[in-house]
Amino acid sequence: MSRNDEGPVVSVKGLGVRFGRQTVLDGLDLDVRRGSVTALVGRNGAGKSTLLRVLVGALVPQAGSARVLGLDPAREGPRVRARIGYVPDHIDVPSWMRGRDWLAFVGRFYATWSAAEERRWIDVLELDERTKVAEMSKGARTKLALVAALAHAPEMLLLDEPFSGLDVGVRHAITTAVLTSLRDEARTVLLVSHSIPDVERLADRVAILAGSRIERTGDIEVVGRAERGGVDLEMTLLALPATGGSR
Amino acid sequence: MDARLHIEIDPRADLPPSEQLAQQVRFAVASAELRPGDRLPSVRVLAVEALVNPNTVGKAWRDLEREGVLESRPGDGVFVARGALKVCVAARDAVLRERVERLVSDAHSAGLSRGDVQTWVDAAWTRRSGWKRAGGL
Repeated sequence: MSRNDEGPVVSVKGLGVRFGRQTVLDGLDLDVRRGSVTALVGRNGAGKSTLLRVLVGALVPQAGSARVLGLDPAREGPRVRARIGYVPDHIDVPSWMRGRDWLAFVGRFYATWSAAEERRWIDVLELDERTKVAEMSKGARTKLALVAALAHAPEMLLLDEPFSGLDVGVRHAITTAVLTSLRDEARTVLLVSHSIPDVERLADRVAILAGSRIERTGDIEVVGRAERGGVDLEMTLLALPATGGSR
Repeated sequence: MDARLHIEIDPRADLPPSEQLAQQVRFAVASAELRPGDRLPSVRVLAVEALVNPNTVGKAWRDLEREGVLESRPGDGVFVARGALKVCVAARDAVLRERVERLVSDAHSAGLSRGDVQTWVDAAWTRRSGWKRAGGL
């Protein structure tokens, strides 16, 4: 599959992002292990979505370097995006489009898009793709974005708040789909989420973003619980200093 | 035969997900729901069913192998080990006894009598049996 089967799938060194006078990320280092499901957690405004936007090539950092699948997203964005699936925190879809129109539109950008895969993920997620996107619930939109992210069989999935504002049934459907995609193929997942119970199910690694950088990484059961009887992940997060950064 | 295993993980529970999984397997073996020689579902299949990361299942399997509950036969799968029943009955009884100890200790510090606790235990036991007769758990 990949040309770089060894080493981390994402490697970020000394990353710095500023918006005007506001420093969002500063000296951030992160390696994401191949085949892991890594949860990126941190308080609101810690810069989690900003980091994802750098990784997909939507934002060029002022300092440091990022490598995704061995490529530089700032200069090779289209090649990165061809090999990853990205579920952003919201999708902008023209109001007339039905779910299937949106999938047909997105599918044209991917050489590896498969109609059979598209159908399969629609079925796994129990999405009604005939509904107009404008009339879809938040859960249905997230499912649609996930179908669009999986139908080209990406090597890596980037999920930005896939559980936010969804009921437990939809959250479990999304977890099932992501785990099913891991069952069939080697795939790496990087996930931003505030939903700690969902993170504790889905992830095996956790990276905590605080103070404009990655404060800690580790196995989720170790970091999340400080070895039995310790504080849980939620408490760890609450104990982090609030940051003045913006999203 | 291939084991049918119903696992449910509660990420909010005190035990980490891998330990919840291991404990449910131990209890299933102790109650003979799983028998020595039964083959367990693959890690990735069970991960989807239990809604947990495959490495979490892998960790539970490794712990259970170390305890002698499971054995992996390379190329064939993971099976309930021959001596598993004894290990699991002991593990289950230890868990349940500890819960009883804690209950008695809490009741004692709260100033309740032995009779109070026994009444509650009897009532709970009767309700449970009632459910069973009605087709519940």
